Amino acid sequence: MRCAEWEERIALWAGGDLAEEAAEVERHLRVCPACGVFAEELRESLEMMRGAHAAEIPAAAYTVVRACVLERLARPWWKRAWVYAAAVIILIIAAGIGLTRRSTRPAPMAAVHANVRSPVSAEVPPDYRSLTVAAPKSVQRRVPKQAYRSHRKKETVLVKIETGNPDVVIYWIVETKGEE
Amino acid sequence: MSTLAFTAMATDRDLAWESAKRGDLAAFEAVMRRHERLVLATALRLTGNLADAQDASQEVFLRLYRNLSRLKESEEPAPWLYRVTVNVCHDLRRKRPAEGEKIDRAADEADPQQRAMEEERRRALELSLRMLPEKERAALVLRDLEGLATDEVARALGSSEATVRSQISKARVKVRDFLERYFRRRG
Repeated sequence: MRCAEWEERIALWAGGDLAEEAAEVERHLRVCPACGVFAEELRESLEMMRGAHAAEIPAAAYTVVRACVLERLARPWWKRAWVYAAAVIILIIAAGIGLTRRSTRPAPMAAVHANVRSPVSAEVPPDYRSLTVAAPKSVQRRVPKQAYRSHRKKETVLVKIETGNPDVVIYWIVETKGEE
Repeated sequence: MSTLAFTAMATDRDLAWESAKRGDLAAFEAVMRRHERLVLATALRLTGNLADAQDASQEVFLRLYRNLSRLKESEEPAPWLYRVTVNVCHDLRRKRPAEGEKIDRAADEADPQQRAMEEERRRALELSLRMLPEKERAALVLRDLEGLATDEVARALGSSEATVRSQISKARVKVRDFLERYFRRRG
């Protein structure tokens, strides 16, 4: 059994990577046969590895690499893949910016349900054909005609106001004065 | 080599480098020729496959071309090339699963039995390198196969010398243990 505490130093020694501690390792190897065998096997495996990788790479392999690189560099700019990649990225960014702007724009406000009337309507002339509802951020919207037409009867008015935040919807319930 | 000859070589190198920076592809080809062995051999040892090594080499040289102006003229490009080769090979290995060794380097050995033995040995070595973690494999390849000094390996891998020494020793032990098991099982 080799000595675990010597393993790292023997591995470095086998590759010639120990300077100061080399003598110490060699002393240990002389007295520890298991580590001696381990060191010998390490050196053999290193030799084997270096021998296997010493074989020359065929010249044609280099030529292929050079030719491919030069061909890619000499290619006109409109035939290079990165141009298309850049175009796609720019399009995606532009679309993203467009979507962001759209989503940050205040949502149309004051969607008033049919057959309802806002209290504001009391102040507008009877012949006024449409009704405006004060909404946050001065966003206004026309109220359907039938909402105004029903102003003469006493009834409950329900106004639904949608804000820019989809989680916030304001309901405004008003009972109007009028004929029974 | 005489001082005069060395100076002439250095001047040629600077000229090629300068011309390549200005977009001269013939000059860049000369730059590639000078460094192609370093790049392709390292890539082959890291990927274990000639086709992948060639792809990696192409990418390394394209990056070199794009970074010619950033590299200092006085600076030796080898450390930069080693670093980029290691990074490109890592990326490639992540994208493509490891395949078997395709390069037929034993074809010129006449004796079929010897050829088979050589092939077996190479296969075992390839497997032993492939089972190493990426960093250990890179450290081992640069130190033991490319013959770089430990501090050069550390610079190429962006690690400390102590880390590289630890990686090298671990990798050597793992390769030895793998080969021992491999040949004992077959022997």
